[in-house]
Amino acid sequence: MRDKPDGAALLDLARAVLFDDLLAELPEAARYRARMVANAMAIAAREISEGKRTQEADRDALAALYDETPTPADRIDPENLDDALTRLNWWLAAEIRAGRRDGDAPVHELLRESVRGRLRLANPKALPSDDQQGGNQ
Amino acid sequence: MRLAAAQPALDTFLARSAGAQTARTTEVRPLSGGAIQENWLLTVDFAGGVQDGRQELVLRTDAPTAVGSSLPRAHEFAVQRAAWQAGVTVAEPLWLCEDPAILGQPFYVMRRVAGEALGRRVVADTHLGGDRSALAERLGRELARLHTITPPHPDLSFLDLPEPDAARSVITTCRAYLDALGAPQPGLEWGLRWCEKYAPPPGEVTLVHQDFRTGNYMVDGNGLTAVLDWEFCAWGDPMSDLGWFCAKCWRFNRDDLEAGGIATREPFYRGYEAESGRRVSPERVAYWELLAHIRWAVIALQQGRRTAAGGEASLELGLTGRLYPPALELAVLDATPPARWADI
Repeated sequence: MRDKPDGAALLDLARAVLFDDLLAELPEAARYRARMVANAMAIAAREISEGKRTQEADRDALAALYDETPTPADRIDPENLDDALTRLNWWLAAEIRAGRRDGDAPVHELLRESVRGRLRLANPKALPSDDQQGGNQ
Repeated sequence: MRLAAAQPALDTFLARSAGAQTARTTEVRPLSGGAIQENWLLTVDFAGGVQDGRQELVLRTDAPTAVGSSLPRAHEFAVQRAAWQAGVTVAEPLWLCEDPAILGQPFYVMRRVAGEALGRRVVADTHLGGDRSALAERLGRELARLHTITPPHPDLSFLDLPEPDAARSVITTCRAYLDALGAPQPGLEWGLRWCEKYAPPPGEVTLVHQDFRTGNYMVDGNGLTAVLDWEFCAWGDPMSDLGWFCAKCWRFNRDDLEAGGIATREPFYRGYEAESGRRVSPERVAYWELLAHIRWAVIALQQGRRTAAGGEASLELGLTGRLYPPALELAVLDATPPARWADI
């Protein structure tokens, strides 16, 4: 349990000040940079609140593809989660490159789900509109 | 880069290159654009020589965030000169300096050309670029002129030898870059494997720009003023440049205008065909559009790793590495569903 307001909430508050107060006072030449800063903060905030869940969903889908049951340690140790994801993604990437997953429908679906999850974190505006309603704001 | 400290040496170089008695730089101003290169606007007073009088020049050198796949300045200078000689509308390249004693790194100087290049502005502001259909046709002709340059070429011997199969060569390069990143990308691998399996048969090989798109040419109120950014040139399939130009990722929110967000494909293809005498193959262009998404995703991932310098440019590169690759990856996956893997 994190102390409140947590990092994501603070970033959202800070971003609101940047957008609602500071942006109007900045000279035109500085606004593009301010928007970049706000964008970076928004990605970080979404990652803090949703990043782990996105990674876990990815890991679970990959583990199911390879009949691996995630160990309890995977669920609580964020470093281990990262390692497991890298290992499973590496394996899938190698299989695809070698031509062992050509046109594989479950793999295609898994890849689409995975990238939509990452888009929801990094660039939700780029999601097709039917995904945006269901996604996190 | 501190140009002020280098100015006496720079002035000497400019005078000698122009055959002038003296050259005096009266104004130096950084130009926007280019996370990879630094561009400086120089106002120079020449006394005597071929440039006698006041000249506005652009000095181009490496920025600390250079991407591995881009050409060094000396090679870019040679490519830009070859394009100039082939009749492509580029800023006239004037002098190359490889002596590190002047600025500490190689640079070249070209004539300044005025205009707006920023992609989203060019697309959104229809007062720019003149008649849009004419602009697209003109850009098709420009590309056709570039594609008259074929291997071997005496001034371009530094380029990697042309591969007989341009598509497979791009796929191999993308895979090598992905391997070097050390973070597996199964979604992009899926797209690369499709491109490998369904690559069109090898065809002609010409010089290709490899970043010919809205955002990399300048326009004023009347039309095109210059094609920019020659650092990714290589030998390749001429249709790859048309695919890159038309790819959905370079339309800047005008998906309906498939030629770079400025026009339909028809005038662009028409200009290309009229100037080149070549037929545009829509299938090949479509193939290269898919590969364009993958190649741009790989480049954006690379740029996202080049944040070590800190500061504004690094934030922009870092955001590039996060914002674009997943959007491109989704587009690639949507273009290659299982149904499109049916063997013909």
